[in-house]
Amino acid sequence: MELLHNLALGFGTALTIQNGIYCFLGCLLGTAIGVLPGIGPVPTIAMLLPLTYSLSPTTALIMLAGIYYGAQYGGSTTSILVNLPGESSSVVTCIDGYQMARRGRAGAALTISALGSFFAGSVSTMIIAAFAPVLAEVAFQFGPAEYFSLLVVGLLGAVLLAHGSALKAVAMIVLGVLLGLVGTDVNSGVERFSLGVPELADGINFVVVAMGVFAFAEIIKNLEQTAEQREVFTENVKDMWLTKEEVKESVPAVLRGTALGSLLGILPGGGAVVASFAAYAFEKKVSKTPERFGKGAIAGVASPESANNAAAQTSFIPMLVLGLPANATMALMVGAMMIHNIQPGPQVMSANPALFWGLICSMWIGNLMLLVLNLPLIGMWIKILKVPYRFMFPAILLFCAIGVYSLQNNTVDVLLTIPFGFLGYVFDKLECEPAPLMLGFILGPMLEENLTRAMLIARGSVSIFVTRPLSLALLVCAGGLLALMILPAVRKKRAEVFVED
Amino acid sequence: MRISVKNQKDWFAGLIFIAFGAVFAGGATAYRMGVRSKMGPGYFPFVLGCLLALLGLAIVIRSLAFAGDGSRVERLHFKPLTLILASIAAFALLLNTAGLVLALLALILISSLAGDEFSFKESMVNAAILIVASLLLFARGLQLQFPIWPAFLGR
Repeated sequence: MELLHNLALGFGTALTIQNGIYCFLGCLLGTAIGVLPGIGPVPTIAMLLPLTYSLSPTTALIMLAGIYYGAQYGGSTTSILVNLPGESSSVVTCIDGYQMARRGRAGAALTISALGSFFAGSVSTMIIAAFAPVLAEVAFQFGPAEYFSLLVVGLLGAVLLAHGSALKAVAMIVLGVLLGLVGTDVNSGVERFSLGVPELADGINFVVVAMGVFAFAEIIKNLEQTAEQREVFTENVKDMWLTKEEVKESVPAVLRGTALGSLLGILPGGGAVVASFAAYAFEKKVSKTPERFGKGAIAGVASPESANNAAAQTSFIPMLVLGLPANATMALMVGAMMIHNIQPGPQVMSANPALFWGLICSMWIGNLMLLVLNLPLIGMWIKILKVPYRFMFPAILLFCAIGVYSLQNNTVDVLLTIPFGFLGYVFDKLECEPAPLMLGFILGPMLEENLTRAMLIARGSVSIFVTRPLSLALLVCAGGLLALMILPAVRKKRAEVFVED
Repeated sequence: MRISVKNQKDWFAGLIFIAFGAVFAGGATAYRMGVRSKMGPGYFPFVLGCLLALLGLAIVIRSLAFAGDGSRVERLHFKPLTLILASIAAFALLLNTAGLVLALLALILISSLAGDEFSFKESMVNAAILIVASLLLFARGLQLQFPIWPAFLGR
């Protein structure tokens, strides 16, 4: 009964005219940036954050969330029609989606990815509604020691799922935490690492970091390559209906993708990208006809597309309930809440029930809107795809520059993005991923505060982290994650050494 | 045995981490350290700075031992790098004195040069559209506060 009451409150909030409009705008924008290769949800959300100042926090979060899951819908369109991932979570959709398009089944591929996403979105919305309150009960028992351990688990999870070297990902997190410490220390009031620049006294804004390392570095990277000629498959988009065999083949794939995606979204470090890869691999493994994968198997489109949308939504659970972002987008959402003076954590649900349930219900409404936006209006997105990148990137830069300026009406923030852009580009060349840096940056101050408080309570005894059962359990998880990361790497490296002998 | 860098990417990344770690740990010594039960503002950054430097060192050592795959650093493309960042700098430096319109014009023209199919006429058209759209959206629609025209025109 309580759930029904909460959902009623949520739909009441999400269906107000203002929230409905912003939800639609978020989904529309999300689809657009999803369709366009070269810009993803992270820079977009960073760009628009300052512009949501004037909105109520609920409305702002509803719109920003719409961008994230909207991008999961839009990304598949480009993968299928152009064989270019519109979004990193649609990379695997290229494999079979494009092959389907070449066989004249582009319409069917688009339909199944939209329907699969919608189904996954609806299920994962229900999972959030059912699961979040239970988790919040547990989270209320958390003291500083538990929070510190939880943050460690979250940060290590981010490392586990980052590509490439775990050591470098850990270093990126630590660097992020350190950069997050710039500015006035809340405990002592001392200004740290501000180099005497008055604008740095309040710290570096996370939007500045996100723009630099994600948006600018991405643009520079895209400009390295000579402009590609995009060939858009448009002839066969008219026939949107699925055949009977296609339905039979994709229904179980959608179910499996949804289940796997929902699970991977909740885990720290998880999210849409990981989920889509895992779902594709899993689908290929359980398929009776694995040889058809890569040649236009509809299950290879249905499953990852359901999984990425499911994961995009369930990744809100740790963010909303624990204040722990699972990926870079969620880290920005935490930042967005803090801008609006809402401390993310288990108390959000009880202190701001309208925000919490309104956001969840808006996700379902948003998914419904996206279904309409993506299927009947597919022609519009095909037109957008034909805009060349040389017109796009100055517009993206313009949005970034104005967005950063309007944070505090101050050009110093804009100048500050430049070193971060440089750093982001160099790190990209060195295969150091920016997402762990961003997580560390946002979680850094929380990490320090909880550590300081835990040590104060325990009079400096580190044993507090292992004597409190919840904290111990979390640290055991962290140890497990660490072992997972190190072991296969060690084995592989050993193999290399032996070969060289 | 001759020591040589087997993995360039790790080598440079490690050095960067060591440098950042040293700067933060060194900088932290200027603040009060405190003790573990009552940490001062210098405690956390000092510990983390040292940790970062150690991680960097580990990565550097690894770069001498293992090559891994794709270990050579690709060439930095200085043309897009400098032009994109310069366009942002131009916007920031021009905005307060020359106003939004000129600052955006500089941003768009300089950044457009970074692409490999630059055409002045095309970029001007793009700039005109984007500037008008920004004025309508940001200045009119969202009521953001910008100086629009150069200061000497007496706004």
